[in-house]
Amino acid sequence: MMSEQVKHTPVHFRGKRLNVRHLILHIVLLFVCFISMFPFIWMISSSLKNSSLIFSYPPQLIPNPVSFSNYPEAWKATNMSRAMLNSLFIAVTATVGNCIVSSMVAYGFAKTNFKGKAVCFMIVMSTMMVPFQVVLIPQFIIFRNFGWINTFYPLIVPQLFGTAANVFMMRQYMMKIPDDFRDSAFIDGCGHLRIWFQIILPMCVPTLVSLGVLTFMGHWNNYLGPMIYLNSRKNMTVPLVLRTFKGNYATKWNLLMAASCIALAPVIVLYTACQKFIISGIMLGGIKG
Amino acid sequence: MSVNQAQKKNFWTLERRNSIIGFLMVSPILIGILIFFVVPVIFSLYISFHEWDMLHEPSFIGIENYKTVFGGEMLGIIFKNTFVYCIIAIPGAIFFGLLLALAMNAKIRGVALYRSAFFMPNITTTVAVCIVWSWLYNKDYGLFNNILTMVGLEPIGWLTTQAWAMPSVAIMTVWQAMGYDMILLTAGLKGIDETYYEAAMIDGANGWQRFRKITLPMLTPTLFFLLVTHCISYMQMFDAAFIMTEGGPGYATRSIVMQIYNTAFEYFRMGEAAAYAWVLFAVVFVITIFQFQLQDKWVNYDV
Amino acid sequence: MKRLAVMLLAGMLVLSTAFAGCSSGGGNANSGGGNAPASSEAKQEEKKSGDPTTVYMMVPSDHLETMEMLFEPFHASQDEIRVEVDATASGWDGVATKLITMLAGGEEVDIAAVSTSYYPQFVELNQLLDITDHARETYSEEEYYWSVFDGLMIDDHLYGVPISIYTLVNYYNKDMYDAAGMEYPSTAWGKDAWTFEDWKNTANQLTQGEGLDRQYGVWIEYQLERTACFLFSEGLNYWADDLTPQFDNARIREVHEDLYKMVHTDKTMPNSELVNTTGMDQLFADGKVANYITGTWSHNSIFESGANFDVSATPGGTTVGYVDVYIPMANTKHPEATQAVLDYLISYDACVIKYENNRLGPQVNRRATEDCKDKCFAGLSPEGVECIFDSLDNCKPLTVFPEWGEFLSDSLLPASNMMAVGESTVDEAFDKLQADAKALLGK
Repeated sequence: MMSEQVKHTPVHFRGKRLNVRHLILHIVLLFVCFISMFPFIWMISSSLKNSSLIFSYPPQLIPNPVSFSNYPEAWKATNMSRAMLNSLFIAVTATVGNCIVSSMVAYGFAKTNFKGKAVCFMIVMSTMMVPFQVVLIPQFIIFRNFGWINTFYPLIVPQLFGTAANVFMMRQYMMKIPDDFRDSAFIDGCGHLRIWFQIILPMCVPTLVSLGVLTFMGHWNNYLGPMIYLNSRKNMTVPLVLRTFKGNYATKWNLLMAASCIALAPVIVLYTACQKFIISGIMLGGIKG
Repeated sequence: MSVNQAQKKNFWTLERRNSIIGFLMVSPILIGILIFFVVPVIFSLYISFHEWDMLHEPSFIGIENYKTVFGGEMLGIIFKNTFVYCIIAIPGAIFFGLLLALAMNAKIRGVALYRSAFFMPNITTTVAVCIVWSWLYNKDYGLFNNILTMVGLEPIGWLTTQAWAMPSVAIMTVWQAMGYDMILLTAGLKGIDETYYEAAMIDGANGWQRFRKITLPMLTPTLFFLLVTHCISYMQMFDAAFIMTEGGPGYATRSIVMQIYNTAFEYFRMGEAAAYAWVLFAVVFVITIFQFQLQDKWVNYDV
Repeated sequence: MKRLAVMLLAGMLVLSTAFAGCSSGGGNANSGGGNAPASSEAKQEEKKSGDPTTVYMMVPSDHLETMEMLFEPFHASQDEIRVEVDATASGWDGVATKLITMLAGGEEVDIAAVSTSYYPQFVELNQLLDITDHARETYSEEEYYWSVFDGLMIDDHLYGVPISIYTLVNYYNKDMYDAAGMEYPSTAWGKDAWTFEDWKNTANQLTQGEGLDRQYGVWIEYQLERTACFLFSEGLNYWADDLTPQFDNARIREVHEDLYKMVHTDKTMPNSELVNTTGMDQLFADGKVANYITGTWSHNSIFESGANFDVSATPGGTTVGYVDVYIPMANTKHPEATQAVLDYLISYDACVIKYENNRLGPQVNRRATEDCKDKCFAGLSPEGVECIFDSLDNCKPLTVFPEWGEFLSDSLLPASNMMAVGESTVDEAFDKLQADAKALLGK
């Protein structure tokens, strides 16, 4: 009763002021929005300029004349189609493998009992603290001994064992699923594997998608790994192609911008389609555990 | 199945069987850690005591690599650079993330739209983003300097002066990361019980007091999480500086990881690179431990 | 348990799909040695023509187009050898780095293109095929300028063939000279050449305007490998014969002080940032820079930029010569085919193609050079062409040593860059270079 009153009075009292406050908020947020989006807007704008317009002063936001020719030229010069297929292949296999295995491992940590589970979990979590550069060089040497240099294996195979971060997040989510589901399945004679695959996994689909999209993005955008392991032009991924292009066309800003647009287009499309999942995936990571 | 089970019951109790399956289920990551983590870590320690260019046999040289690392001038430079980057990027991203989260927490329309706009920089390919930003940062034709000259200020050599190069890279990182921090902090804000605010309003606390006494303490776990994870990941900064400035001008943006990369894959001194990596690990480890030690002082898990 | 088996099977399936995918995506690259050609057409061709050897070649990515031009007729003329040209990195240092990674990774590279700076490093690493005997037998004095091969000899052994012989020359914008009513710079080399002082005066005379409209008199990249051309003319060098670093030499510093002043005080040279942003070819073609000292490797892009230009000698009359090298790898599985490709790359036919397309500058093939003198270096007057060929007799190579690559990227380039952007004084930079050089060579 009391709280209702408290809630009610100010709203009524400040009916007008609230709107003004919201307006100010909107203006501020729109401004930040503008800052967030501006580099992308500027990129698109520059990619539509011809080479003389790009150096004009004062700069024009809407190019006149608009020239679309940068796009085919950049596309042709970058070998982008091949790079996109490569990036797609690496990202999809690594993501799918990682998510399935990670969820299985997470189930193991969340819903089964065995001796030393806590210790195992600590070990897995502690690996997140170690910078990957420590293992960068020895991993390179190990993969070299496997004969995997200039193949996609080094970028995919380690992912197929699951990764600590994804295991952590999946476990986080599975812990919230009541054990009753598992226990009643036990009574029906199901084993752990079946419970994981047929009962728990379907319940985790939103999380799985979130992690999947984030993992996918991570692999798609990865630069250092492909740079170290991949050597031939056929195997180039999108970030590598873009970087080489930057080296060769250092002063053709309109082409560079067009190439950047092309490289970003799939990411932005995927993001727009899956942003709900992405954002809930991020939030999952922040839950203290 | 049931007959089988009955026969083996004496040993294969359901419980035992399930615990073995449980262990098998987590075993992939344990195997992965063994192959891709434990073995490399040991191997890394091994090669840090050797001179090795990968083309010839490694030869044992004791702590020579560590002497080179600690004796050279580069170690100080790269750590200074990386710290400058962290000191701008981490508080910057968290601060702006917090501001945005607070603004978005007011119940206004279009929150989802704003949120997806703020978060977009975070998921885009760093290489592409770097190309765009190096154009924005351009001294003669870049937009930032155009704005500065319009308001009557001197243009800045964003990426070409030693003083500005690292801050410029860090500013880009703040732009990229603030959306991420905003989302985590929004989640943190959502977790705060409304009744605290109501009680405070009855006590006549103003907005700032409410923020200071309720919001901030309640957010400390999220802030701590962000601080720790950012520290670990920003200490490993590589892409942004490598693409925008290639470590220049001079050594102004050469980061720790860039030094590891250069030593290993340009000069092919694997041992020295491994030694650098161990120094980096030691520093990250100490910082992280330190943060966990300090968390009792300010992080509030009770409420 | 049956379930577990099914699960495991499914897991295996995922794994094997991934592996299969990897091999289709990644495996091709391993075919450097010639196991599996990349595309299906190539496979068909392979069946048709017996078993062609694939020679895998690594070049900087801006050389790809030229390589395609060169190997098209080569592939048409014979069936035994296919050359697979690959390029990942954009610059010379990128290629050198990638090459070592590939060698360390046990990949089969047969030929790589490296710059002079990295050639001794690969020789030192013992990774190159010794072609001395083959060269002495096959490359005749009549057909080739042997002095170039001699220049590539390390302890009387030859480990590569020259891609081309580049020199630094001065490209000048004729319109800007005409507008100022000035005489074109001299094409004479040696003692009769124009001097460093003449060049500085020209810089002052041709500079005018302010801000983004400013016209600059001259430009040379503020990079010590380039500025060496002023030193060579005075008999100076960064290194003494016994490799003692000379960065503390007063005259060397004075030259760089002059250049520093031209960039940062007098602004008769555009600063490096403007050049990096706009591109020197563009500035030159737009009439923003009157004299542009660069290597003949820039010729084609200058020509295509549409400038009204010609070539003169560099001030001082002794320039820097660069011989970039195609190096055959010692671990090649098919030395004969590799050798044949090298032979082709410096053959009459290949050199003519390079000349006719303005690629890669003067060639080692004497007959092709003599035949093409009048049709190479498009856009130049006969005197200009003559000037470029004369430069070959008036150039000196940069001093390089096995540690050069590291000195270049860790010391020389950062120091040059710092002076170019005005972030350190000449004395600071040269003090550091001297110290770095001593430390590196003292090891």
